Amino acid sequence: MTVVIPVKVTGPNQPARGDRTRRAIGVVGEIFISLGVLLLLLCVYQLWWTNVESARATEVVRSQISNEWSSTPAVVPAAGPKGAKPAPIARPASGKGFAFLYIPRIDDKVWRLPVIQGTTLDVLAEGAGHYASTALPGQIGNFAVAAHRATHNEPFRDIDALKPGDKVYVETKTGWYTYVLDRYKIVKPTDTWVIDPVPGKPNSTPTTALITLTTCNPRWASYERWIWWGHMTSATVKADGPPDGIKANGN
Amino acid sequence: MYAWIWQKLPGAWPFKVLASVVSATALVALLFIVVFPAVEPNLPFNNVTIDETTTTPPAPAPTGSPSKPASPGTAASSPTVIQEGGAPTVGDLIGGQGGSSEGPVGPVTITPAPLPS
Repeated sequence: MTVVIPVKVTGPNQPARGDRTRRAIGVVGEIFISLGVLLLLLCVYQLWWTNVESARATEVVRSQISNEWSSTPAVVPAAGPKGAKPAPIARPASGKGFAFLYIPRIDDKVWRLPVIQGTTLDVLAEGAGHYASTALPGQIGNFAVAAHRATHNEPFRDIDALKPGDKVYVETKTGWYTYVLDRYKIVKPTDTWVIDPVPGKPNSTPTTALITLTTCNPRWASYERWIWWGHMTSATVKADGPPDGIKANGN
Repeated sequence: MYAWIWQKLPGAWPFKVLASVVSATALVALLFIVVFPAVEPNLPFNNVTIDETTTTPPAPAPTGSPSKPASPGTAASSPTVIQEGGAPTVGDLIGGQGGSSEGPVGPVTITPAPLPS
């Protein structure tokens, strides 16, 4: 099909209706092209730039935590036998990093990943966010963290590669905590029961130390949440050195 | 539009090219530093937390508070579970099928740890 646009040939100093129409169409076209470029730039921002910024922010928080741990002496429990329980840490202030997360199965993303108090977007851009109302590492109850699965350095990008039985290590100033993943579930974003002290049993008193990982699902559309649950299997003091799974990884 | 801008730029063409590049860069910087970060929270593919209003920790609500619409909604949440995996032996440890037999589940929780100051 051919579209014939009537064009009236006119002199240079005599702008005619046809010229105006053509100019208007040109401007509309330029606006559309500009909008297209804008959307492409948004993609570049999301897919690339947020990762660059978050990688840098994560590194900053990582060294903040390390500096803090080394500058103030840890509360060392009385030189006990091997297997002494690490001293509990104080509840961190909002936005403050207080632990490192290690998951050997997905160690290219989750290895010495800072865990920061709170789950705001600012926090999640720097590492994993700890649901402030939930237990701290090693405590009886549910230590629940969230992290991005896409954009912002995407720490939980490979959450679907984890398997039941996989180890998750948490390092605090005073101790190392080893958790073993049990099962996953895909839930609605409003299913807050998943981070309860005993998930799914709102009124029962917790007796074990659990861990919960939450992230978005599907990866690029986040209308659901991917949940992993696990339970703690060991807690050791820093003086005893990192668990075997950390040393074996050699990172 | 762009032709009009080009004509309005002063100077000879090398300067016009320079001015165009500089202003385009400034525009991109403005987008990346100000506009996109401001727009981002409203985009639908970045939410990873349970209950998007978790900037403040959910206070321990009194149990058995007058049932808001949330209670029947969350009680009916078990059928929306789409997929499940893992060892079934730990089901009783961590609560099975979303506690459908436990009565309404939802934001009515008991938090063991003290709230942050």
